Amino acid sequence: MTGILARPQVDARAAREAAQWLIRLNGGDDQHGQQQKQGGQHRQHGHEGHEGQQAGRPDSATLQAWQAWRAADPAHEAAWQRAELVIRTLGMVPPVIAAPVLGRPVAAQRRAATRVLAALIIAGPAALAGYATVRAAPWQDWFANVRTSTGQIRTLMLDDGTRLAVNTDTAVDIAFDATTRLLRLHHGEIHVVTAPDRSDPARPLVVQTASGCIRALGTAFCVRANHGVLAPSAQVAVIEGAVALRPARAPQQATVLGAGWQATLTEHASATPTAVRAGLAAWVNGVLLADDTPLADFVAELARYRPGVVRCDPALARLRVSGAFQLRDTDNILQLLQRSLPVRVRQRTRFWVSLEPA
Amino acid sequence: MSAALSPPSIADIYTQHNGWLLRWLRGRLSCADQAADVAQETFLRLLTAPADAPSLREPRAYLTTVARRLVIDHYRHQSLMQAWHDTLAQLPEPLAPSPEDRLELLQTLDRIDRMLDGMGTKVRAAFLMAQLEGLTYADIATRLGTSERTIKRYMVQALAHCIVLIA
Repeated sequence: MTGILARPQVDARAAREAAQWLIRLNGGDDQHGQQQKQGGQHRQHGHEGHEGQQAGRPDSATLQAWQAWRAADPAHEAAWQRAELVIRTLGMVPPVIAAPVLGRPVAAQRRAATRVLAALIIAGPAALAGYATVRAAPWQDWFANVRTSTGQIRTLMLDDGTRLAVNTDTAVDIAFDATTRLLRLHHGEIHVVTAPDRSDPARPLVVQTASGCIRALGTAFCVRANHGVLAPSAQVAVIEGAVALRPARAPQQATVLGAGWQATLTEHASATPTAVRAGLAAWVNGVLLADDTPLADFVAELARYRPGVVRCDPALARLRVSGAFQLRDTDNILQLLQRSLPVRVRQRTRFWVSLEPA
Repeated sequence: MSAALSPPSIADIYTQHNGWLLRWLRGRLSCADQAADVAQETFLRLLTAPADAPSLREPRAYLTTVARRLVIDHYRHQSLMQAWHDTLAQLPEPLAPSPEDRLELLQTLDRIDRMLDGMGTKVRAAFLMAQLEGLTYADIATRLGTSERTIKRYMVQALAHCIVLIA
């Protein structure tokens, strides 16, 4: 925790000017920072990058002006040195790890910290003696409706420390009160990592779906609600710990599902568990994992993340796909399929894509 | 009279303030050990503050400020660790860093994370897309539903933020 109180030694104006120079030197009007990425073996192979690099070469007048700016004031040079350090430091981490770690949702984490701190700021130090009474009712009722559109994945840190990831095209209501931490899943898919409840008595965490309830028993799990043609069902996969499944119309028939198992919950019963499919929860990190997956299944999965229709010619259904695919760019996934399999991607419109034999 | 004006000694401050600080921190952090660590760190900052700093005359305000920052940093670090473990767990084998590289990588990530702290959500997202994913401003603009001009403004803002904060 060292250094967080250290006062910056840099003039704010010089910092801003250094930033502007850095962007200008890298052809910043349309392209940015490509030259600095020596350590980039994991970077995206975008075609546009190479063109930009050419276009971004500064002319000699610009370089002279930049040198003059650096020489004009030691504060400028100091800021410039730090600018280079920033870029060097960012180049030291592999993007495949750095992007999800640094790009995690930070707003929720800040809110959690600010909330616990707010009490002190409002009440002032004199109120500290009353800390025990604050503790007795730590969490207020909390309600929120979360919706994601097709292709969108969100991760939320709930008030109690539970992490909720919400997959594409999902509607979930968060309703926490004094007795229950309730997540109402209307449609779509969620991934829950529960935190022990700090209120006394501890409130159970329950996911409610049309087909029944899933009660967490200290755990990480995934629930995907399906509307189904005849009746709703929910696929429940347990990654850690265990959950109790309670069918909506047969609540007395509760069963417990342990880690590594998945089962389908219908209104009347929960089906015999099977082993959890590997990579089932990879979407939480924006990845679609395939391991010798039939193309038809892969395409059906991919289609969830893409507005419009993705069709797979039945002749191709048995082709196999393996790999880790970044869900944020489904166009790219389609291109990858075309490159690695004997298939042709035909885009009638952006929203109508079909895979045909090449 | 001169005694009343001279700042209290660190020992006095510690005796007088350690109790409430520790209690307060325990309410904010999930475990008592962490609270003790942060309290320790808070007093450490006091020791290294200049002897004539106003901090010693207003220890309560100073300790509160320091402790607040440390708690915020604690949560930041915790969420970083969570994301780190999750990412490693999901990473396909060939891409995973070797055990020897992990510590160094994590330290660098922590340094960068601290540098990014306090940056606006969109600015941060745009900056990471450009720096880590190598996306063009046009691509970033499309993804964030804004103009290239705005993205360029974000980049200047983000870089200036980093230049000031990098340690």
